[in-house]
Amino acid sequence: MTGEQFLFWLLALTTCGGAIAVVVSQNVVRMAFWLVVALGSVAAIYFLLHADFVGATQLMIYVGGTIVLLIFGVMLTASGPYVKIKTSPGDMVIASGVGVLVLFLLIGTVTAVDWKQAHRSLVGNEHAEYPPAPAAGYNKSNPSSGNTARPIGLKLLGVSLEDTDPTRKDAQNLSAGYLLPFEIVSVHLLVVLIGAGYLARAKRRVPVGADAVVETLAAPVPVQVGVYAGFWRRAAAMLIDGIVISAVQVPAALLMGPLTEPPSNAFVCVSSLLIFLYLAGMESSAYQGTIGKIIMRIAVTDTYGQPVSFLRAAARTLSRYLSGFCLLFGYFMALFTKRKQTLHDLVAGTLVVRRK
Amino acid sequence: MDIGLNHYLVVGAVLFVCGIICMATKRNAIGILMGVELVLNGANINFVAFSRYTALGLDGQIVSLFVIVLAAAEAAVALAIALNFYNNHLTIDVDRGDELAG
Amino acid sequence: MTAEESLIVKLLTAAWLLPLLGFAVEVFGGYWQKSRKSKAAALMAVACIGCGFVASASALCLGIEWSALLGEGTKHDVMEPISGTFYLLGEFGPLVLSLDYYIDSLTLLMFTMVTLIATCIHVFALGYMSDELTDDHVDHEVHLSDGGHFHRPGRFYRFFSFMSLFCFSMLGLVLAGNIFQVFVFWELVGICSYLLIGFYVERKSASTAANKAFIVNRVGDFGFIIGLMVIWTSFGTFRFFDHEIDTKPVPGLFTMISRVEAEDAHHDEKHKSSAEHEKDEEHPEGEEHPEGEEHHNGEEKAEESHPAGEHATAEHHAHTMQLDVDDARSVVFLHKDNKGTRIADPVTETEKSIPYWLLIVAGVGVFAGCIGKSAQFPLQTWLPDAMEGPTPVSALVHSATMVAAGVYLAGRFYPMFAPEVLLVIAYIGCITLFVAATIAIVATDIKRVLAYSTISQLGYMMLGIGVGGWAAGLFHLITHAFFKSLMFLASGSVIVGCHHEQEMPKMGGLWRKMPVTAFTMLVGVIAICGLAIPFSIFGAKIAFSGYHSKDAIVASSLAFMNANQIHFLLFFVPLVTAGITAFYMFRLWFYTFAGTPRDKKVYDHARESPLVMTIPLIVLSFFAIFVAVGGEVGPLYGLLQGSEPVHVDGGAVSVATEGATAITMPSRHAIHDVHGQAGWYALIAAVSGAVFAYLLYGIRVIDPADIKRNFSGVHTFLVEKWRFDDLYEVMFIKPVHVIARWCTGFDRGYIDGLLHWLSRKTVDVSNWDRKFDENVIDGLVNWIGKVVYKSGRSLRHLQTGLIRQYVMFIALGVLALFVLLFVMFPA
Repeated sequence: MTGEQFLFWLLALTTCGGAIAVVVSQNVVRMAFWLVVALGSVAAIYFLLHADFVGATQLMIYVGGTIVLLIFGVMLTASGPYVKIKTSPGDMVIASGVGVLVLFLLIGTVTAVDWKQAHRSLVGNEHAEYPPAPAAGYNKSNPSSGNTARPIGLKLLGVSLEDTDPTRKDAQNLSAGYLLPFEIVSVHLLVVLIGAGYLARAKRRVPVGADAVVETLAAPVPVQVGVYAGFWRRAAAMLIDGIVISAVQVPAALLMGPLTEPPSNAFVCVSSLLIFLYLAGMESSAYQGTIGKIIMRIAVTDTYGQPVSFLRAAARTLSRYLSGFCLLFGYFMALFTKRKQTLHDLVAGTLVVRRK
Repeated sequence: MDIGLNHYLVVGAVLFVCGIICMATKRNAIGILMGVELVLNGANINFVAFSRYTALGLDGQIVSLFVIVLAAAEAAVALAIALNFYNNHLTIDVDRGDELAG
Repeated sequence: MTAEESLIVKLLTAAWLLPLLGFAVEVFGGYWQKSRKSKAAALMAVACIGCGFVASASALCLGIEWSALLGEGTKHDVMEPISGTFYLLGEFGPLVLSLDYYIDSLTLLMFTMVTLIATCIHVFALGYMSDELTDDHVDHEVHLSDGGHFHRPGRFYRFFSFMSLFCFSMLGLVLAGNIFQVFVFWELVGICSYLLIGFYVERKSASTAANKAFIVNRVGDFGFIIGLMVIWTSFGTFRFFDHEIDTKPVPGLFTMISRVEAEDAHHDEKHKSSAEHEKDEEHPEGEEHPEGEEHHNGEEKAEESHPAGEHATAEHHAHTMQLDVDDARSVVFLHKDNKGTRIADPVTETEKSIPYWLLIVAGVGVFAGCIGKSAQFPLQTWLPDAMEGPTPVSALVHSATMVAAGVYLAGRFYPMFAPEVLLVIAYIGCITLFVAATIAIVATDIKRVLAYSTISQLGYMMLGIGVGGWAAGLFHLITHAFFKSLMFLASGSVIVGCHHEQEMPKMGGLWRKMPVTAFTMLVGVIAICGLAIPFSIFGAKIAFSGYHSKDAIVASSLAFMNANQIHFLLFFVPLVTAGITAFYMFRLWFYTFAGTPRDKKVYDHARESPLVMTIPLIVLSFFAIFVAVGGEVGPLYGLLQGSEPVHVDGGAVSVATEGATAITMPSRHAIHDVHGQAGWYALIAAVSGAVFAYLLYGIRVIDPADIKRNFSGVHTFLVEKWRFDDLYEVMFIKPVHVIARWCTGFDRGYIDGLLHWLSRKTVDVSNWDRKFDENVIDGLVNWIGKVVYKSGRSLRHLQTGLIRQYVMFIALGVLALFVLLFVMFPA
């Protein structure tokens, strides 16, 4: 028995054992422990398969992240009697039966395929080596050492090292870039994290009739509490703001130089800062809104109908980038959220309402 | 006996089936979440194994990376859901949440 | 066009359009005013027509060459016709529809006459219609089913707006410069008469009379339209006058049909009527005399000598004027100027002509319109019924407007009438004047007597035109307008004074109660009868207007008889009728005003009418006396002669055919020669009629009842108006009713039956369809819905809401899919 075989069997045993232990454990904390064991073993199996970068990611995200998250969940929800919730034996038997059937089905399917032949027909070479050499790593002199971080990074950027490898002509058509999926996944991850944070955040209990109370409070700008500005009105306000900003920015840019030239970094920084100050300052001022919002008769308030502080306005302005990064989805949220809030409204805890 | 593709696939299958059974039997929402993780890992083993033993090359590893990332995201959302569920029902027994029963 | 001429056109246009303005203001203003007690509409109407009179009279004074009028000699210099176009309605190649004007002395005269009489009548109506000045007018003639009378708001404004429209229409007709425009205003006059005769529309008799007037007029207008079509197709223009289209001169109707001197002029010495005058023997006779015309029933032939010997200014003898016919007398050549230049057709290179018979058709067609409008035989029946309108309407209809339109058109269109058409006109007029006069003898309703007298006098006018006395006919039209409107207004005064009593047997001795009315009426009676003192003072006979005009007509017909002995009736019938006229007119006056009161109640309540009604009477009686002063040499006759067609003045008109219809038109001099003779005849007839009436109704030496008994058959026949209404009832109305019944039966039986059958079948089909829908379609839909519902109810239990079961389902589903895969693809 070679070391590789030994390692495999050991890891297979811990992986499968951990998984089975997760199933049979009734205590959620123990389940979490066994899950760590199983997922950690999977990470080791990745290493065994020369997928060092994936294995590392597995360790970091699963063992270091997801499991921590799970344990958080366990701790947040596990109180007393709920740590152990018994499953009825009948359920257990039925589920096990079905599970065993599925297992046999899968194993049968796996063993029924002649992988060598399948590989050779796929490659189109009757005498292709099987199993093939591990994926091309950075370290060409020792392919089996695995060094996949750089090729994977290049792949994600859309360049394939394998295409440049003259020894792997057969793989030329199989490789492709992953830039777009990478971006999508990134945005997805961002959205999901924000959404999760939103879902899991502690609810601020607003007493019934708070709106009525709010109405009596003195506000610099009389607003119609509870009458939220619609999407198109806000879009029009943004358009007006864009025109206002351009009216200052474009002449300034002209002063700096011809528009065909890319602006200097200093100009970009200064103008970005000024725009930020304009947006945040106006919204936290007594006008409670930018020029566009004033024209469109809308105002920014906090959830109590009061003017916002500069800090809150600053948070709102910065969160606009967030709304913009998720393909403007943050802005479109105003179409369907209950109080017509955009993503940056939600982040900053603000409302946009109609003026009186 | 050389360790081949089949061995890894069988390990993945076991993980997958364990995940399914876990989902089907655990009344604890966190337990179901763990089952999902097991299923995803079972699938991931398959990807990486195919990446090693077939002409798939690094593509399999990249897909498995995506799976890992999405699994993390999914775990975050699912945990949030579980917390909300707990807030609403004051329990995480999923059998109590049968409002959608026909 | 000189400034003076354009001023005349403007004045007449103003006089013409002012009543239209009045109409618009009155009808809308009156409709929207709150109370019906305002006289504003009437004052507006009076102002409009009064200003129209001033304008017309000014135009008359301006337009006349007074030296030519009052001097000796021909009157053709009195006025040159002014013609032109107001507005072009449309051009269709050479055919032009336009609003034109054609102004000659006749137009000016008619304008002045119409506006003057209409003004008097308007003023009179101010008093006569004053009972309409209320918001709650009670019509005592309308009996409702509950025994009461009909109540309605007064229609004072409506009356005057209609009157204004009436005047506008009549003036437009007179001003018209083409025959189509004449037709348009002709119909407008018709509709106005319809509106006014049916003014008391709630009275069945009034609405029936209005319908009758309108429908009978349609019969005549049918002929008019035929005439228009012939004119359109044959002449290609409607305009009377020469004009230009695209700077190309186009001759007018009168020019196209202008007469030429007869080339084969045969001057006959046999001029009986002027036997006492020296013949013009110098003239060579009988050159190239066609054999065929020589011996014919012993009648004179087409041409006749002209006794122009004593004519002071004209050439020694006048030439015979005739239509430009070919040798076979089958076609008439059209002229491009008054010198007889024929129109050459550029395409066929022949001279343009129309068939002679078409000319007759056109003339008779247009005259048929005149028959309807002027109530000539056989369409005279509508006019007596038209008495249902208010009396001022009757006065207007009978004198200046409606019926005058027919005579005016016959006069205006005279150049287009072939001699045969003129003969038809003469005979129609002759029959009419006799029939109407006889009916008037026995009528007892004061307005109906006047109505029949109108018909009779219109017959005189037509006769005058027909026998070649063109100026005589229109002369009578003018004079008659004055004394007839006078008599109608006087009768209106009587009717108002007697509280709407119209039956003469119930009156009598009224002159003591209403002297002004009685004596103005007497003026009218004397005028219409033609009584006169047959001696001259200062060169003028002492006579009222009617004497002169009727005298002229009788003279014309006498001259005509002299020229055409076979048509002797055309002289004797009018002569006898002149006596009858005097008889029935004096009968009317004696009946009404003289003698002892026959109905005490009527007499006691009778009273003289207010000034607003009597002043028009006095004004009109002044004109009835003096309008024709001077007679044949007076200014009025001179004015008419100023627009007399050339060939009338020029001498005899040649006939176009041979045989019994061969006609010789008397020349003016022939008429002049017999004038004194005819005057005596007419005077004798009139005096004898008047004396007879005095004997019967004045001093009552003969009891009219005896005569009535002795001639009861004739009397009944006359009372029943010669049974024309019965005849028409049998000839037209009954058959129409029968046909209508057939149509009704066909409609009811077959068309309705078919429709009912179709609808029943449709209902049946719909019922089947409904059953099919309810059972099959609805059943299917309901069944599907039920099945879906039931399966949904049972399947909902699958939805346990338990997430763990869902996971199991997924796993089992995967298993099942694989099993299925293995079963289906065993390899």
